[in-house]
Amino acid sequence: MANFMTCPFRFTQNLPQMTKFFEFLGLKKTISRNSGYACFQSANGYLALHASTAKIAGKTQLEFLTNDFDEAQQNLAAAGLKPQVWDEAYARHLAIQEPNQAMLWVAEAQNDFYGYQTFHPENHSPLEVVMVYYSQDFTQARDFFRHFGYFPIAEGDSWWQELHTEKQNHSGHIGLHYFEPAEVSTSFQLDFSNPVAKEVTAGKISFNTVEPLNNLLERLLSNGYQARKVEEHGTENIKVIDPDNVLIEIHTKA
Amino acid sequence: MATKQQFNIYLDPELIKALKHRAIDESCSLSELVTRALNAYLNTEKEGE
Repeated sequence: MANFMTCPFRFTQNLPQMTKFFEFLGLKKTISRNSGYACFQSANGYLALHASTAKIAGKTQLEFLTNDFDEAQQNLAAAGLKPQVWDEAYARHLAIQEPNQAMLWVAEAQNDFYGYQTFHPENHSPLEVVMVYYSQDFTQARDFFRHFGYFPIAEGDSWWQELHTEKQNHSGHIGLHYFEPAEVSTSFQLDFSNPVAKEVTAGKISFNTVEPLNNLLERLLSNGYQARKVEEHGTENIKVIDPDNVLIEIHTKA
Repeated sequence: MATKQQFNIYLDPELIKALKHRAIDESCSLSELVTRALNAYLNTEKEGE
């Protein structure tokens, strides 16, 4: 089976400030292009920033990366998911319809870095990225993400369940998050030309960290970020406003 | 604008690489670059006209 890695894309009009914020939290930049794109490695999973217009700034597109694009395409087609495939300048892409009816993209991991800068971080990131998928039917969502090799870590509840892969090698975590339709949007239209005219999967990002939350909170506050520690459902987390004015949650790594 | 349609052809890998690099240089998508190149060619006069 092809190996998939989570790589949610955050669209931003503040790419330098968002880069600074993610590096401050502990993510490690691996690829960038001018002020238009940056990709970061976490302890488990990736995260990308993409410059955008104000229309979609702050939105997060859920996406996977794979090193085995041909096999991924074959696996997903064999599962009846009808992948739509196209070439971009930096790598191939495919899109499939997910349970919320939006298009979920899978990108081939970049191997031609023409026009891009690459970085080779020496230190490990203290953070894991969690790619949050909104769902009203966890059974359907679990069945869907099983096609990518992700399955439940623990029992979960009716509001939240984390999925991971067996390999855990930068495959990242997926968090299933129950939602009320009035509260969140599960898709949006991209504001740049792309062959998939339909709306793409919207979600959000959160982090798990090994850094003690009190240390992290102190660092955030002393560097001017709006952050607070809260207790919810019997555990503590940090809520911080990022430079796009989006609320991010940071939990202690289990 | 009409819905775009996928167009599959076989090209030399070096030509594909050159097209992709040019798209990166011009900060446009591969589809936009190839559309521009084909339109520019088709807008030239046919030989002998």
